[in-house]
Amino acid sequence: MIFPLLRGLLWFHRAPMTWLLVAVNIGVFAWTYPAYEMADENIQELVEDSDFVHTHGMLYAMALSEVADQQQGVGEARTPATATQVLHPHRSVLQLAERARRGDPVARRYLGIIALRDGEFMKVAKTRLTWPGDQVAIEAWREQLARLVTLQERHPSFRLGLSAERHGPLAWFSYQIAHSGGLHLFWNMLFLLLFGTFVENGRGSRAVFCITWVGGLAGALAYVAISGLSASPLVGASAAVSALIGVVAGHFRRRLPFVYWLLPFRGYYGVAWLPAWILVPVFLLPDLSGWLASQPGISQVAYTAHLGGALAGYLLSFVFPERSGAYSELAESLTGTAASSSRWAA
Amino acid sequence: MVIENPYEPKSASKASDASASALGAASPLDRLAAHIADLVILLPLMAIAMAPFRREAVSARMSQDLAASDLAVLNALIAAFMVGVLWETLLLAWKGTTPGRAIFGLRVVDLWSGKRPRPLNVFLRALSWWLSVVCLGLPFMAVFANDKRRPLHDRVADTVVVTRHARRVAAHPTTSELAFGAMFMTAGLVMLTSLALMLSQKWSQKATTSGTTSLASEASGMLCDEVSQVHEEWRSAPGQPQASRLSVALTMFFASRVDATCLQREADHVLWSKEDSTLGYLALAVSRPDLDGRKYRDKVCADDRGSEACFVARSFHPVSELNLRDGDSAEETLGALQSLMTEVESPPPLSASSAEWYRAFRMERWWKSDAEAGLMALTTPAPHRDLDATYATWRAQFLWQLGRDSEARAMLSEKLPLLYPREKFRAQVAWCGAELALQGCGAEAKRACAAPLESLERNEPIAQFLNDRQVIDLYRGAECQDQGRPSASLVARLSREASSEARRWLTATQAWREGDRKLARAEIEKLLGVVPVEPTEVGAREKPVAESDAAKSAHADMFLNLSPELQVESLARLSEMLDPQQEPDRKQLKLLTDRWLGAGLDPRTRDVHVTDAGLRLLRRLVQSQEARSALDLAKVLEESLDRTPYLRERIAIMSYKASQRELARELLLARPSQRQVGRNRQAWENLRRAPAQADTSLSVVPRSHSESMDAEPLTPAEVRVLQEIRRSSR
Repeated sequence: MIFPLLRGLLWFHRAPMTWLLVAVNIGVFAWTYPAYEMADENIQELVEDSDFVHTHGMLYAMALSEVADQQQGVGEARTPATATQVLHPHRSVLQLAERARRGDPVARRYLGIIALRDGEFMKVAKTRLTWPGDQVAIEAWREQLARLVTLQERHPSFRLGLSAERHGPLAWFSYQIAHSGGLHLFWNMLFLLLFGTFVENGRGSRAVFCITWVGGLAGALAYVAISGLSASPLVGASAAVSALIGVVAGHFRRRLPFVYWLLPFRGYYGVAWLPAWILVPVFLLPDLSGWLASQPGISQVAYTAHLGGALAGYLLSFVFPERSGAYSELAESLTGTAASSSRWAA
Repeated sequence: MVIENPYEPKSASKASDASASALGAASPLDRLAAHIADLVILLPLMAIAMAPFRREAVSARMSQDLAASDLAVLNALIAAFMVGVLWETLLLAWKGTTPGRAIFGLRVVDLWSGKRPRPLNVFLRALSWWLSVVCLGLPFMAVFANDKRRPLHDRVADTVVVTRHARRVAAHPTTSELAFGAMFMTAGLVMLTSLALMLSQKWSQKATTSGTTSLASEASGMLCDEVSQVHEEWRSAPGQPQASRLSVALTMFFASRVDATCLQREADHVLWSKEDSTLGYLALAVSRPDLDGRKYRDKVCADDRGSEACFVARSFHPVSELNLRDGDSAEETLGALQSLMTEVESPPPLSASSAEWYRAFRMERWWKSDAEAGLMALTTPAPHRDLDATYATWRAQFLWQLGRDSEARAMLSEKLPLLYPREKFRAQVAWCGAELALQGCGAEAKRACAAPLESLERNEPIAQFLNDRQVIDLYRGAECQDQGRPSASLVARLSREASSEARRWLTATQAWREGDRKLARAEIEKLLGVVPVEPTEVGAREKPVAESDAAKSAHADMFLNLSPELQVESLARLSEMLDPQQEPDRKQLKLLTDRWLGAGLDPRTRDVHVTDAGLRLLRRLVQSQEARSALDLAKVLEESLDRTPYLRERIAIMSYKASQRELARELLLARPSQRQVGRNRQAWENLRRAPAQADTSLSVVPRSHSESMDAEPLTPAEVRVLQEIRRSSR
């Protein structure tokens, strides 16, 4: 219903850093796309293989029960390399494991998907040699897992993203320029352009450079601190974009232009000047509610990374103050845009 | 303008607009737009309030706890409702407006004083506003019906919504507004009524099925209730050997009391609980016909290839054990198949120490090979009363085999009413098949086939997933009932429930019935893996069609997957299709005979349909002077030769001329009970190895002999040979 207009999409000469960042993101995506498409399709096929996912879930349930036994002092002690001592599952995951052990296929499927994202378990799964249970299914699972590992090694999201498998210093930055699909890239780039050009116009190229990379880093830190490193890689410029939103929302009471559409009648759509804090309910509160509503280990969206990025952006807005006169320029440049609704009132 | 630019210089008209306060009732469109604008902030707040419950709902759905999930959704909606009420109450009591309303210059004021309303009134207003939303917004329609534009919530709280823009004051409702309100109201009421009806229906259904749904949800994905029940009683029954739960499940599976899914669940539970793994792997080998099933078979056979479990597992995946190479000839393929069949057809003996599931397997799958032993094995009663009726039908099958027909009939008549519907149907089909085999299309057969055919025609769910034997018996039953022309609808129903091979057989047979002989032959030949032949012109010799390697291998695959029942039945049908008026192709006859010999037909078979077809082929062989093939086939059909003494004489003459005088004598003179031909393998083998010139000397029957050979008098030379045989025997 409302969409930030700000200064619109300023061209390259007015916001070179933003455009450069967009170019880097699109370039990396275009460069890695063939590998991405091929690996993604194969991984999808593997994840849709119900036998594989069920066995994976069942082994996860077995590993969790072993951990529980060890914590209670039951069962034989294993070396860390062969046991899943480091798993700290959520209560609902433990309930799922219980149901999976009793033979519930739905629980096994859910658990299999959660297990694919559990970095610690994936490490154990790749290295442990013997598992109790249906050996035929386990043998087939082992083959599929080896295939999955090979595919992941080739997948750009796994090579550039931040995951339990790959979390070296470079990954904390490279994850920001990798995207998991065309639509993901499109929305991130659209908001990067909108907020990036606005911030760059007001605070300079250096500010945009620092805010995006530091914001992305802070987003990743928040994500890892809250949810831990996942076996499924963290990718996307969303945290960096959230940092830019944080900077703009930091204007609070100052009014900024938004495009609105309420009803399909004249006068109920157009451009409105609304306080900057409106960005909080529009962009940041949905992230907060998404995080609160998401099941641990299942959510596809790293809400906490968005929130961490936004907070970092807000703090960085004090480090990079707005140049004087930038805001009045904005007011002047967009005064005419509200004319459509003024005609109606006249 | 509605939404102002604060940086734009204010015009005179706008200044006067702003200074004017509470001019009059706000327009409905402004009010609607204000609420939509409010949603920009309100929706995220509601989402946050709903978040914990949404999380709970997802968690409950993952645990398949639908009641908890519904409750969590309801809680989430209540939370959203409360946030909505709070939003309206706090903002209206504090400011008299909300952000959305403020944008449009709207205020909520007390009707009498024109000032900000009291908090209690505002609360009541908010409550009734949200209740109106719950009622699909129908109460809001009053804004189109009164001068002050006050719907229910304004009346409850004694308030009125006013605008500060003089130009936006709503006038009296116009006719079109009234009409719109009435239309919306009517449509809304219709929707509400149908919604209420739907919900009440759903609830009443839920109430009636609450018992079964709770059971189903408990059972879904867990162990099978049927097995639990039988296992419990089995264990507590005195004198019954103790059996594991999976062993009970396997027995029930072989007795067709539980399906493959159930058995898989049971096996899965056992395997992941680290219990008896061999039985677990066996259960998966028999319940999964796919590639994984073979892997489970290999696992079962890894330790002991001679065990009962391994034999059972192998018998479920016979074809995959064939090690065929590219370029193998048809003979090599058949040879490999036959040696495998011989191996598979010699199961470990059934002993007192054998598990119950092995007994059930032998009864279900191997009854045909040794009826006497089967009947002996069934002297011990069924381990559970639920299986009693199934065991009785097995006993009846053996009795049919042994010719104790009246006992079998009595057994079936007694036990049929006790059977569960699906088993009852199966037993009825078997009965129908047995009667047809025994006496062809007689009164008994018609009576026996009527009930299952009726079930089939009524599309009853019990008549689903038919095996090849059942498809054949039902089709034959229908042929018998409908004077040889089963209805198209019945054939369509049979096709739906049949395997792909049986479907092809049905297509061919039906095509034959409808007179399309070419299609019928082609289909059956494809099914049997016979090289198709195509007549170039009427009466001309048929030429083999050049066939691609791919087509050949597809045919070979189909033949290898063909069940023995369908193989024999297809052979019988193809033999029936031999045109008596046309001179047969020798190659074709040879191939057909080879298939008959390879089909593993029991020499004591009592199926008149099959043996008649075989005798028909035998006649053609005799006509065509195919001595070697004729003698081989005669061995297979030896018992049935009693029905055609003339053919017996002809074959005796053939063997006499082939220097097999002993054999000729046995064929001609011994009474059936004394005859040893069927077992005198050596004599037959000698005959097979006899020099080729023996064939050429058998020019007893002229080439162009007609089908009515039985009525044809013997030539003087033949009579002389017969007399010689008789003399020598004295």
